[in-house]
Amino acid sequence: MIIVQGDEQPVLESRTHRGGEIRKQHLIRGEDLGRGNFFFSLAYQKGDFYSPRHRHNFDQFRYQIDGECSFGQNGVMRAGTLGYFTEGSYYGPQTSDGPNLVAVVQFSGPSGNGYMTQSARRVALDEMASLGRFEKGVFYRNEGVPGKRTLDSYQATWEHAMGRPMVYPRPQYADAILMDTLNYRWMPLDGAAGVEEKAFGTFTDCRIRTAAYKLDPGAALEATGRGIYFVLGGAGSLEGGAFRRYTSLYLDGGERAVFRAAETSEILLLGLPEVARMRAPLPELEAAGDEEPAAV
Amino acid sequence: MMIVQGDEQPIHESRSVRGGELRKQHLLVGNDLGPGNFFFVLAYQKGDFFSPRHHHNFDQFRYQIEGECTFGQTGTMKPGTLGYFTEGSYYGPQDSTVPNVVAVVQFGGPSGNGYLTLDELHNARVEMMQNGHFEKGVYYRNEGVPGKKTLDSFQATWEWAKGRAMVYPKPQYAEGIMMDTNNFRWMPLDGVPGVEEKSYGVFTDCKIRNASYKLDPGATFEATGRGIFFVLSGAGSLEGGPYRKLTSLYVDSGESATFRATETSEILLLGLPDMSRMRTPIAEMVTTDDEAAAVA
Repeated sequence: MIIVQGDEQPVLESRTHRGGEIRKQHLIRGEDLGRGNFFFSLAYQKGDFYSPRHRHNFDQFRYQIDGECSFGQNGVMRAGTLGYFTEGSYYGPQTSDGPNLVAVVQFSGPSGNGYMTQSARRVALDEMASLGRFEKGVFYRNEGVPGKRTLDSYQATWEHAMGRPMVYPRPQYADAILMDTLNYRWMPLDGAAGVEEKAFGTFTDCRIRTAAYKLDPGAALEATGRGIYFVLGGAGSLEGGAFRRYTSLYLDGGERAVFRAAETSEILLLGLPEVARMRAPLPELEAAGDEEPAAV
Repeated sequence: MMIVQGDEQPIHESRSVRGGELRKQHLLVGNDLGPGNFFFVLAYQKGDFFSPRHHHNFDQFRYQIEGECTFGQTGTMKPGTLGYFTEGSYYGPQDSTVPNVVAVVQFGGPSGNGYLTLDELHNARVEMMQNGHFEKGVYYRNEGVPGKKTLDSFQATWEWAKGRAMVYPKPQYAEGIMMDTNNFRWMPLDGVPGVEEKSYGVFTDCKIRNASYKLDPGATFEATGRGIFFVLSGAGSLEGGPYRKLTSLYVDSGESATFRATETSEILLLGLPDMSRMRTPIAEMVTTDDEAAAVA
């Protein structure tokens, strides 16, 4: 279990391979070199962000707090939109032309491919600076440097860090799934007086859950199951300490924690896959290609 | 509970509002004038089917058995693709140029808008043919007939049957969700020896479930929860009778039915919303025809 007060975390300038300016608050960071790694942050984008249509070998939830961000044919994320971007599925291009704030968790998906740790990524970016340049989401290798001349910037970073070609999982969903959380209904949560739930969905064969919970003052929510619980509003106590806006809780499989609300509170669940349900060793992957195949 | 042997049902030529030649086997037919109606069919399309990009005020699952069907930016359905087309979300255009077979259930979604019964649909179409014509998914009113001169054909039919303007639910998902069931993993179903599950997802605030179950010979599977269980292959017994390929079971909330496999069997669950979770009275609709106002 990890509990972090988001408003106590410094806002850092972030080096990005995607272009544009980003500042980040690192909320919860995994350091699992195996299949269970993840990284949860608040990203403050200046509005000149661009990345081409691409895919990853990991999963991602994005919850738009302020501003807008377009993802091309996948849609536009506005305040309250939750996006699930699954491993192997193409999405974007991603553009924003105004300041926006988004909570992002990137994590190892059902394939068991894992997710690069921040320290491995930093080392790779440092080393790659002398080998080429990043521009609008693409890595351009210098003349004479072995390897593909141009490559999606994340893929290039991953391959440099891991020292092997990236392979992509075959996607379970053809496309990213965008949810307008404002259009879901609050429903009483069974067995939890004073707590209502918006069930946004459960995805993939790893049963990755996502939902929001609204607690009346005095109500208690017992959080269980592997995932991140992110406080969107309200205040109360959590495992002997305080919770308030942007308090972030990570629970591992089999762990639990209790939120006790002093004010009406809203908590977003961004589920993570149970490591026991992930594939191992990696099966049925397809080699990374530059061409987007016909959709699923 | 309803059990129907699919291979005993006649194949009808179908009058389609969408153009093209279509034959249908009616498998399970609801007759609920309230929010809980549904219609489950096998559709045999001749391959010259077309419908423009549009949206509905009901939910729909499509499971592609043979052939291909494209849905524009939503993707292409190939054998084994399962599509969830949620109420209010635009999808398509839908186009097929080769013969294809698809299992389709259309049903009243979370909004509580309901779904037209076959009688309502039939009666409306008879009257509408005297007042205009259908062409490629659009209804054209004859000169002098009150109402919009052109309108999406299903919307026109619905409004004719109900005698009021259709309102669309605000979509919970921005687009149709397409799942490649071949890319999901069989996992043991807890507490049920000899049965494995592919969990495709749980969708909307009504927690609409989707999964497949694989039964070893001798295994038993208890089907529960509101939904349609559709046998893709195998054989065995079901509630005192046989089951085999295309056997279709409807289970209402609170009911259960037991499959006992004599051969390795695969059963697809197309969940329906629990009616107690649906909205009543109908709330929070949008009336616009403008796609840009939808979530994406």
